[in-house]
Amino acid sequence: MSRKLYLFGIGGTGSRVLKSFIMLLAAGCKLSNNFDVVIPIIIDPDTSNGDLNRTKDILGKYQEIREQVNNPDDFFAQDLRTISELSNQSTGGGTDHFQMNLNNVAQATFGEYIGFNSLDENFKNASDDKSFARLLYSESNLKSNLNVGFKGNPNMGAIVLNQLTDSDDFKRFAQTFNDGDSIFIVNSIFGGTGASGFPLLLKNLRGNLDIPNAAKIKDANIGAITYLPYFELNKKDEINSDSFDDKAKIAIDYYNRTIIKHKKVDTIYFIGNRGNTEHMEYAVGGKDQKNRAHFLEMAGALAVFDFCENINNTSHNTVVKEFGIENDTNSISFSDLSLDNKKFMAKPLTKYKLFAEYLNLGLSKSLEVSVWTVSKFLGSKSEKFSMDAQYFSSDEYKLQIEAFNKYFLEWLEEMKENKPSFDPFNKITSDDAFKLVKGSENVKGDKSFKEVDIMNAKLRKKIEYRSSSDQRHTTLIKMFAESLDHALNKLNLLNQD
Amino acid sequence: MNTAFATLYENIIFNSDHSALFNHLFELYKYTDFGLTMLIVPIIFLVLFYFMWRNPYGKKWHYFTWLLISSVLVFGITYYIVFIAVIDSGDPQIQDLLYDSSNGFESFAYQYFIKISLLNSALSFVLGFLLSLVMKRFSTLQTHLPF
Repeated sequence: MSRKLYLFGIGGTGSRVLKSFIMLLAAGCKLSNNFDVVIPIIIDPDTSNGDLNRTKDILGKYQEIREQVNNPDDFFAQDLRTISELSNQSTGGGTDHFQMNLNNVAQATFGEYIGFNSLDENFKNASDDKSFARLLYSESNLKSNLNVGFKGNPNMGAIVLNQLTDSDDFKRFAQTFNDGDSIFIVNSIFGGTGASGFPLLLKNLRGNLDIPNAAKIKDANIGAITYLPYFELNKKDEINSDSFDDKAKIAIDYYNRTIIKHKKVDTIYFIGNRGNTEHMEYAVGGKDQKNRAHFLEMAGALAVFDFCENINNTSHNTVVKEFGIENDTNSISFSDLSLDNKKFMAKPLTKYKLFAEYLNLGLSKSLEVSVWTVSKFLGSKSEKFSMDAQYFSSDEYKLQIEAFNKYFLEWLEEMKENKPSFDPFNKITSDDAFKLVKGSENVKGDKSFKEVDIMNAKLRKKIEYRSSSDQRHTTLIKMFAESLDHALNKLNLLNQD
Repeated sequence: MNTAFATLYENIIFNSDHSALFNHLFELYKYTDFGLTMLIVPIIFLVLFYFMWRNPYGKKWHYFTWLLISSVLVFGITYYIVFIAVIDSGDPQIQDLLYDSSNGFESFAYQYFIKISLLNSALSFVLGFLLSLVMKRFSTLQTHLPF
């Protein structure tokens, strides 16, 4: 039975974890237990947020590429849809449809949103609502613009996000929900949007009977990952990272009482990092909030795969899981991960990294030289949609593959520069490409991209790898997935340490 | 086979004044050797080029260099065959003709060695080129060469 996974990413952390999740999907990681379709849903009032928009752009590019591949079964294998696409049964819809729209937050201050100015302040007849509101919200809260989020104030988020179920997007989500579908929620506990949005969303999923398919949603498998503090900010202002720990403790206590004890979620994952955290550039929100990718976001994305894998392992209580690595180190490579994690992601990540690096470093050597990049030659049928110079200079290639790969390499580079650093790869050239994985420096055999070009030459005629006018990336994506697989196995690259 | 090859070669290079040389080569089945050299060497080279050479970056100059080496080898082998067949011949008639400087046989023979070697080399080049148009269709890596 085909199943859908609705993946809610709440706030900035939600967006960043979604980004890591998409990168793993692009690399060929797949959800198990028949979860064929993933529907990413971002909940964030901060519409201009740099992290959010980058993630939306990546999601859009993933979809664009996947649509141009016939039956993807390795890279880009997992189908991604927007709620709009599911409800209209149509394709496309734009990246905005990955985000759930909140009403009346665009240009409003929090005070305007709650109608603060229209509240009574006559204390004589005990109707001084304004002063009561002032007990709950500071002046700065009331004047805060909602279009940059809640600036780490869950007390604001709890009010604004409570209208989530009124939005058309939420109704569409509920309408498309079927038996067997599941929900996974990503949030952080130490900020504003994520900390307040998670319990609210859960409350509505489990208890709001006014939404379509309420019974199905109420009984659905729901998993969540909650981020404990894992970075600090380089400036103390409206958002102060010194308060992250205290906010996290209070929120955990609340979650424990209201969520875990009442089994509102089937599985909850906790992840965080103390001690060797990175100081991120301070930004209250908006386009300036564009934090570097972090290893913990990728580790968190693994929770989604774990949740789907164990979906049938039911328990009477909420299962609580934590993420850990084998070796406590500031520079994490594949050998520092648990065997399961290494097995799950080392090969896909290495393969996709090699794919992206090949197109950056190796293509110039083979373009119009290696047979798989030559389109027409005497005595052979011309292949209309071959991987020739015309393809590699086409808009489809440049705006989709090249742009996505740039994001992918940027993502890896950012994780490398962060603390703790995720640094499983060596810097390579086209002549020593297969020294890529740390610990594989002594790999025997030709380390250049030659083996890939040889395999591509062999695979280029496979009928199922042929591109067509409306699926122009089929050859590139499917052929490289197999040729890199072959090369990695031949050189035994991932079993060197 | 010898007759067929002899017809081919003697139609291009023949001199009735020195027919003893041509008869001698014919009787020793040397035309078969020339012909097989002209055929086998480029075939071996092309098999190596199209099916054994694991280089996905083969360019036109690689192909023509390969074919040229094959032709040079054909030249060398042909020259060796004809040289041994004539100069080291135990045939008294050929020996007499070679030692008699007045008949111009020796000079003609040496010119002939060069000419037949060049001819065989050129034929192997043309044949190699034609064969490559067939072989490339079955190649995986060099199927786009020579064009």
